[in-house]
Formats: sequence, C-alpha cells, structure tokens
Amino acid sequence: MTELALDTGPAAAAPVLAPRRRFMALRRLVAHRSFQIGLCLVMVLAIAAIFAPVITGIDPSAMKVRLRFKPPSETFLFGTDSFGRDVLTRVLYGARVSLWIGLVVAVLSGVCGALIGVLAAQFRSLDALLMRVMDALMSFPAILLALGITAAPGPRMESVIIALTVAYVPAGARIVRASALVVRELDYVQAARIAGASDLRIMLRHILPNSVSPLLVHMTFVFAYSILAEAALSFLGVGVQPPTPSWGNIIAEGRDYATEAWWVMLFPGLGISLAALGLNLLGDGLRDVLDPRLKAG
Amino acid sequence: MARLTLMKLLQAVPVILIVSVLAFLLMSLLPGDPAVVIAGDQASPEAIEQVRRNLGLDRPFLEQLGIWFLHLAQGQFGSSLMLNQTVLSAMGERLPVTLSLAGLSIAITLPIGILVGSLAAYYRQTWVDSLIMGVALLGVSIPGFWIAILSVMVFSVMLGWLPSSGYVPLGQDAVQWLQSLVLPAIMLSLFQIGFLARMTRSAMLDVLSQDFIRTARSKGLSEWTTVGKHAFRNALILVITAMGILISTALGGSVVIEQVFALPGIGRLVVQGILARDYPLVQGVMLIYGFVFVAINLAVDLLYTVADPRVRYD
Repeated sequence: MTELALDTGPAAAAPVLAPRRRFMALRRLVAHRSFQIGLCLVMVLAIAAIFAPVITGIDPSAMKVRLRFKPPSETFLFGTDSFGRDVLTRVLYGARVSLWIGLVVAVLSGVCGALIGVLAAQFRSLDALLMRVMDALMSFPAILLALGITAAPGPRMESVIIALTVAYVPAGARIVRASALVVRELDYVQAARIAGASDLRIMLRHILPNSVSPLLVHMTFVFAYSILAEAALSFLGVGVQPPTPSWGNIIAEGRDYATEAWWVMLFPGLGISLAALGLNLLGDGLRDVLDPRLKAG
Repeated sequence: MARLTLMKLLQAVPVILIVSVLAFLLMSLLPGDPAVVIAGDQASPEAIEQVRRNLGLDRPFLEQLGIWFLHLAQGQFGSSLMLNQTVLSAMGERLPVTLSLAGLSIAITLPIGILVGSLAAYYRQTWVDSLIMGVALLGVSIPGFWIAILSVMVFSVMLGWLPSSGYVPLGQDAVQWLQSLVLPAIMLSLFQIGFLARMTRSAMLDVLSQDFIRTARSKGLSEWTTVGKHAFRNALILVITAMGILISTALGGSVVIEQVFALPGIGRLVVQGILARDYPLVQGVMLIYGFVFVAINLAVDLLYTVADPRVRYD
C-alpha cells in the first residue's frame, strides 16, 4: 500500500521507507563518503566532550598564576591562558557546553517546527496565522533575533538555547509544512481519512513520519549553525558567561592577547570549525540519500 | 500580474503587524519588573518610577500595545536611553558603515560564488568539483569572527598591510575607506561565498539535467551556447533568491564583524545597546530591520514572478 503510493506519488517528497528500502537507505548512507567523514568527526568530538573529565583529569577552572601563557608543550598540549588554566582542558569542557547547546537547539527547533508545520498543513484555518508568524520571525536575521531574545532574560545558557530555537523554528516549520502538504494528498492518506481515521491519527501516524526525512536533514544543519551562532553570541558577551567555558567565550577571552598567546583562541576555533564541518558533511550525506530530488550528479 | 502583486502586498500587511507585536513583546520578556531591570540594580525607587512612567510601563498591557502602534503609525520608533537620541537618528548615523560593509561583501560574494558554484556543477565529480566544494564547505563551517581575528593578526599586526580597526567615511578619503573595509568585507564574504557556491552548484546541476539542455546539445549547439546561454540563464533565477538570503546574512554577520574590527555600524550599536540594557534601542533596531526584511522578501517574491513565468501563486 505504502509502496504503491510512493511509486505513483508526485515526486514523493519524503519516501515512505518500507523495511527493505529503509535498510537500503542505511546501506547507501554508510557507503556515502561525506557521511562517513562527517560521522567520524562528530563522533570523535562527542566522545572527547563526554569523556572530558577522564581525558584531562584537570579542573577546567583551576588557576595557576605561575603558569600563565605557557605555549603548547608536552605538559600543556594546547598551552595555558592568562590565568594559567590548561587550554586543552577548557576546550574539552567547552565542547560539552557548545555541542550540548547545538544538539538541544537542533532537537527542540526540529520538534517545534514539525508540530507547527503539520498543524498548518492539516488545519487550513490555522495555516495562514501560523505561517505569517513564521514569516515575521524569519524577517529578522537569525543572529539579530537571537541577540534580541538573549538580551531580555540576560546572558545564560538557557536564554541562548531559547533564542536560537526561536530563530530556527520557522525554517523547520516551512520544510515540514511543504512536505506535509504533498503527503496529505497522497492516496493512502486519503484512504485513511475515508476509513475514518481521526485528524490526530492522520497527523501522527501518516503525515508526520513521512515528512521527517527533510526535517532530519535540516536539523543536522541547524546543529551546525547553532554551534556557530552560540560561539558568536558568547563572543559578543551575551552567550554563555565565564567561568563556564564555551568555545565562543574562550575565543573572546583569548582575543585580548591574541598576538602574544595565539594558542588560547586558536584551538577553540578549530573545535568549532571541525564540529560544524562534521555536521555539514553529515547533513550533505543525509540529504543525498534521504532526499533523492536533490541528489547531486 | 497586477492581481498577484496586490495579493502579495496584502499578505505582507499581517506580517508587518506581527513583526511589530513581536518587537513589542521583547520588552515583556524581561524577567520581573522591566523598569527595575532598565533602571539598574542600584536605582532609587524614584528613578525606577521615572523609568516606568517614561516608558509607559505603568499602563495596562493592551493600552501599551495601542500606544506602541500609535507611535509606529506616526513614524516614531522610540528613543535610546544611553544615547539621548531617537533610534532612527542613531541608526541613520551608523547606516553608511553597515551598508558599505554589507554592500562590499555582497559585491565580492555574488560573482565569485556563482562562478565557482557553476564550475563545480559543470565539472561535477572531478577534482575541480571536489576542490571547490571542499573550500565552500570550509567557508560555511569556519566561524567568521574567529577567522576575522586571525586575519587581523596576520594582515594588520604581523604584515602591517591594512588597518586593524576603525572606519574612514567614503566622503573623507575613498582609498582609506576601502582599506578600512576590505578585510572586514572579505571575512564577511567567506561564509556567503561558501553558501552561494553550494546553492549555485545544486541549482545548476538541476538545470543541466533538464531535457532542453540535452536537446540543445544534440542539435549541435556549441558547449558555450548550451551552458552559457541556456543553462546559466535559467540558473540566474537563483540570484534573486540568493540576494534575499545574502542581504540577511550580510546584515546579521556584520553584527559580529563590526565588533571584531571596531566599525561603528548598526551591528555594534545593537551589541552596545544590549550590554547597556538599552532595551528601547534594541527594540527599535529590531523593528526597523524586521520591516526592511519584510520589504526585501516581498521584493524577492515579486521579482520571481517577473523573472520566471512558471511561478504563479494561487
């Protein structure tokens, strides 16, 4: 039934993956080179973040003033900062904060976006209102919107998460709505409707699962954007506040003495770049496999 | 066509209203009493009362919203607390800086992004493609402010080629103006070039796989005519879409880049406003940016229908 609908459906926005096809998709994903590289990068960084206490065994805020500005050496692989703190330790602990924020924002904005998108597609009366609110939110550049929102409750990790989530929900909602609008016209959804399935059941059982793949691709990119945005916010002084290390605020602290102690700001920036690179690669791979319309070359 | 334009204009009206309400709501996001937050922790009860009355916070919520709209209708976007200046005049003074920066960055981005993106699509799955897409991927992954600080260290501090910060108005000295902006603009462009190249590549691949390209090739048209005229022309529609996104990311990104290079633009104004708890200023700037982008998005939508007859909104 689903297979049939898939084959006749208009361009099948998000293919319904029957078990065998799902397995095939997984196999193609695993064979995809940018997906492999991306996955490795993200895994390594995630493991480093999770096991940070085991890896360094040093307190990230332990200050040893006699050991200020030590360049990278065997004892301090990434050198020390203006307070004599170990930069490697701070970058590892910063990874926990930055990656966590990125993950939470990606998941939260994905879930909210999915809800709004499906509601808008299912209930046409809500559609105009919901989508105009999304248009309005999208009228602000994301970083500016996030700045405005973090300004209100004051700079904290929670406000960064809320601000970035609000900034990235509209794009997710649009994506889900677009594919939900295609899916709801497919024969099997019509059949479910005729068979008397409730709106809720149709939304949750039929429309949502089949709108998930483009959203998943989008969420991977949001993960990357959020890490970059969190770093920018913390750099501007409105994100995660010291002494809690985040990649952004380590760079902000290191910036003042960038010429004398370049290593303080170099390594967290590399961390951000690698994380964003890994996630972008993952996203590219997912898109190629899950969203065949965009399959390149 | 006229009907379509009218419909699009009508659709923009609720968006403008919602943008205004959202900007208004920013103030109510403040935890506790906004008057206390704005006046500061050490303010006397009288000072707090003064702030409350000045901002109209002592009135009922709906009345405040009504006053907010009334002021907007009169073209009043509020006044900054720290500058003793209206938001409009504060923004007006800083507009040339931000516009020069964003304009220069888009002028760098558009030709390069489209050219390398098209090259990657044309030479797909060759080393040219891999190289270009690899670099583009770095562009969208490396944090702009970080590479900007590194670039200051290399080009200004170590090599001494360019000033590390500050802004010289165009009217004062055109050469120094360009010198003060060239590094910030390039740094701002890195993300955008990467973004545009990726976008161009997939749009061009889409066009190159179309039937009319195969027809053009098989009827013996030269490669240049096929790709240059048929494919590129169709992909140009993408420039319109890209412009909207590029302007948005350029103005967003300039917030951070202006901070790194100490350029006195609107982005720096917002950051200063936030750090000084100048909420009316932040609110005003957000609102005006919101309006500007509603207008830009509207223009993009309308240009679409002009440029591509297939696009019809029902």
